[in-house]
Order: sequence, then structure tokens, then C-alpha cells
Amino acid sequence: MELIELLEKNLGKKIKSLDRPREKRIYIEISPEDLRFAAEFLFNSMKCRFSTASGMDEEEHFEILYHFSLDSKGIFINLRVKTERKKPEVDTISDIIKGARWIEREMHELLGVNFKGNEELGNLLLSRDYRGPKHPLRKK
Amino acid sequence: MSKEEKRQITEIPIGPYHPLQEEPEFFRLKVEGEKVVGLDIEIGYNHRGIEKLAESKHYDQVLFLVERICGICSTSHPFAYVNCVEEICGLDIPLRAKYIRSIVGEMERIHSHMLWLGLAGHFLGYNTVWMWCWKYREPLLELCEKLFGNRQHYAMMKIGGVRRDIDNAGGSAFCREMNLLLPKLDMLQKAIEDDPVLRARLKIAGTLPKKEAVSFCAVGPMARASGIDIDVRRDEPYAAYSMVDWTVPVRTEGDVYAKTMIRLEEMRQSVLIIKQCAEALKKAKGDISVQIKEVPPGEGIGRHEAPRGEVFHYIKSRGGTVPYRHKIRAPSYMNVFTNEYAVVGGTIPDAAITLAAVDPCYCCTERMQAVDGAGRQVYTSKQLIDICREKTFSMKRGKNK
Repeated sequence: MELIELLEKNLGKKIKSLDRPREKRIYIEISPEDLRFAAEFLFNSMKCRFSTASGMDEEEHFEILYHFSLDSKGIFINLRVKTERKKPEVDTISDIIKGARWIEREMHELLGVNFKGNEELGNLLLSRDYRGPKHPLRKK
Repeated sequence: MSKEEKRQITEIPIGPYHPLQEEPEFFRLKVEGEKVVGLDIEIGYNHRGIEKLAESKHYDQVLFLVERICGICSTSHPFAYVNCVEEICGLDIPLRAKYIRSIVGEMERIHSHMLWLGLAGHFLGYNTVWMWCWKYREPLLELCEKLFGNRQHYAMMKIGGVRRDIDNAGGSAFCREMNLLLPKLDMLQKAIEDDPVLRARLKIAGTLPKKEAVSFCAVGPMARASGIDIDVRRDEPYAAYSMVDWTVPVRTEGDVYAKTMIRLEEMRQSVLIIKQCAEALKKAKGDISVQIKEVPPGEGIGRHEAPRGEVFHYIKSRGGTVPYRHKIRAPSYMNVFTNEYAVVGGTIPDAAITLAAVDPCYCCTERMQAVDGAGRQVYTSKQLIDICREKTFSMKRGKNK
């Protein structure tokens, strides 16, 4: 349980809930305002690799899971952030992690979440003449 | 006029459909004289909405859908997908299926790296390497067809195991083919190492230092050539990878030469894995799959070390027969982006091989098309499928050899 202690010590009260359904998977829910701190801690201090992020429409709110891989132990640490449906917005982490630039663009485009501080949120995947639903990954 | 204003920057478009790039990606090179000073990357020309489609398909149907994400890594996405669903179900697959899965994964790695190596030779004007790679790759694809049922898109993966068994004769065929391949890999390596021009071209091109590779979150051979010691097969073992002896090659130079040597060494390691799995398969008795009734609510992550790096699948299930959310991240999504650093500062001729060193993949499943003198098709698609089936059956009966 050394890893959990390390996470609890450094993220402290920022952790809203911590779930470990399997030995190699840790899910930590945090507030959107604590995202940058937690991402910086995992990426720079714990030397985790940012794998990707999954944005999903949970109907009453939007949820973004940031998947960090602790390759030395084969463990995934997932940061769960919830943002309200009326104004979906979270801070960008693309200035901390270059590898997050495209996925933030993709989530902005397909799910309609705004990433505060990311200046390049143009279309990534959909074509310019796309005529379907504005944000195709939304459920309603 | 200031010095800055005197700079003349020219834009060279590469793509989206360019004779050198087999896949539709658009690279806008900004050059000053011969030197590349900037790069814009545009993707999305091949977006098919697979994540959205997966939300409307049964878990078994999704398997066929993800197999068609990529032509050359056709088993990588199903591999990560079954790992993901089995994690949600808390399922352990039979031993025999584990060995077969590893054999399929490694066969794919070898023929995929062979394809890259051949294309790299072709891009650099060293067509001997290209011809050799194609020549020695062909028997591997024929073996895939004989034992998996197809050259690509084998449909071997299944939630709970594998779809087809490999008998003892099949295991021996793998060992035989791998023994034949090893000296050819040595020959290819010497051909590259001993060629002063090729060595010089690859050594100076497209260097990606470790610091940048970490920041861009590069994966696979791209990361391992820049000194990042990661490999999903070792870091979070699945299938039979923890039951066989093999090593992860790592180099620190970060240039195209290092990426080439990493891929060559990985092919050797794949040969070792296949031979050990094929031998172990002869002793492992039992079923090749277990039945699952339903996927419970929950979430899971599945990954697989594809030839190009970590394939990542995340599924959220709310019960029922379809995934609620299915997130897919292919390795090229992280690796193509590194070109923004690796290409800048180099020259235009080096940009071609640097962009190709990422190994963006394309589908090589087109088998044959017969046309008469006027360009009309001689065979219909149904006739072509019948010819393919007949060839596969004849190979299985041993008449083609």
C-alpha cells in the first residue's frame, strides 16, 4: 500500500474519492480546480507517463478520465474530473504535458468541453464540411 | 528592413495524399532554404467515428469493428480490447489461449517491422533492403494464412480466449519458419550497418532526445530508441509474455538509426517468444476459450504492445450488451506528434525518412486485382473471395507447398 500512502500524502484533501477495483488500477476523483496540481505531481514528481484521456457524457454531467501509467510498476492511475453540463470547462494540462495537446482538442471537438488556457482548440478529426451533430460523442 | 523580415520562409505541403506517405496525413513543412524551421500536422482525413459506432454494437461485434481500425496492426486493437473486456469481467483465460495470443501478436510484430524496414529502405533509395524485406516477409504472411486463416485480419481473438487452435504440426511450422528467419535478420542488419551512406543518413536524421520523448509521451520503438525503457508486455504482463524469456531492447541515441536497430532487435526477440510459445503449446492441454454470459457494470483498461507502441482501450459498461463508452488510443496518435520536434532543424531530404520513422501504418490487405487490356475487371469481388478461400484451403491441405 506504499503507493496509496504516497498519493494520499501528496494529494491530501484534494482526493474526493479513491478507488482501487484491481491491484493495477487506481481511480482518484478530484475537483476540476485541483487537476493541474495533480497532473503535475503525477507527471513530474512520480514520473508517470500520460497515456491519454477519455471524455464521456454521463448525462447529468461530463466526466474526463486522465489515464497516467506508472510504467515501473505497471499500474494505471486515473484522475477523474467531473464538470457540469451547463458550462463544461476544465483547465488545460497541455502546457505541463505536450502529449495532451491533441486529446484536449479532440475532446473539445467531439464532446464540447472547453479547456481553459489551451489556445489551439481547433478541429482535429472532423472535416471542415462535417454536417452531423455538433458534438458527436454527446448522448443527447 | 530588419534581419527578421528578410527571412524567406517557404511552405512545402506533404500530403494528404502524397506518393511517399501511404496514409492520409498532411504535413506542412516550413523551410528556409534547405532547413526545416517549422511543421504543422493535420490529421482527420481517415476519421471513421469508430468510438461512436462501438457504442451501438454488441461486445462481440465490437471485436470485428476494432479489428478493422488498422490493416497492418489488425490484431493489436482486438488484443487490447479483449484484455479490457476480460478485466471488467474478471476473467482468466485458458493457458493454451495465452500462448496462441502471444504467437499471433508476435507474428504481427515481425511482419509489421519487416514492412517498415522495407519502406525505410525504399524511401532512402536503397531498394535492395526493400526487396529483401518483401521476400522474407512473404513466407510469414503465408504461414499466417495457413494457420490463422488469413494474411491479415485473422480474427483470432475472442473474449475469453482465441477462436482457432494451433495443432502440433502448426507449432512446428512456426519453429521452422523462425529458424529460417533469424539468419535473414542478421543479413539485413549487416546490410544496414555496413553501408556507409545509409549509416550516415540514418545517424544524423530526426533525433528525438529523451526529455522531448517524455514530454510528448512517445510510446513503442520511438520511446525505446530515445532511452525510455517501457514495454507493456513486460511492465504489465498479459497473455504468455511473463512465461517466456525475452528482453526489451533500449537505445539512447533517439535518431532514425536507433529506431531501425530497435525494430531489428525486437524482431529477434519476437522470434524467441514465438519459438518458446510454440514449444510450450505442445505440452499445454485444455480448452482455447471460456464462455462469458454477460459483461457486468464497471470500467476497465486494456492495452497491448503493438508493433508501433502501446494500444490503449478503455470501456465503461453499465451492464447490457453494448459498451456505454469505448475510448481507443492508437500509438501513432502519440508518436506522429513528435515530428513537431524531430523534423525541425533538419533538412528537407531528412524530413522524409524522419516522418516515416514513426511508422505510420497502412493496410496491405489488397491481394489481387486482374484487369484486361481495356482496364475492365476480369474477376468480380465474389469470384476474388472464392479464389482467396480456395487458396487458403489448398494451403491447409498442404497442396500449395
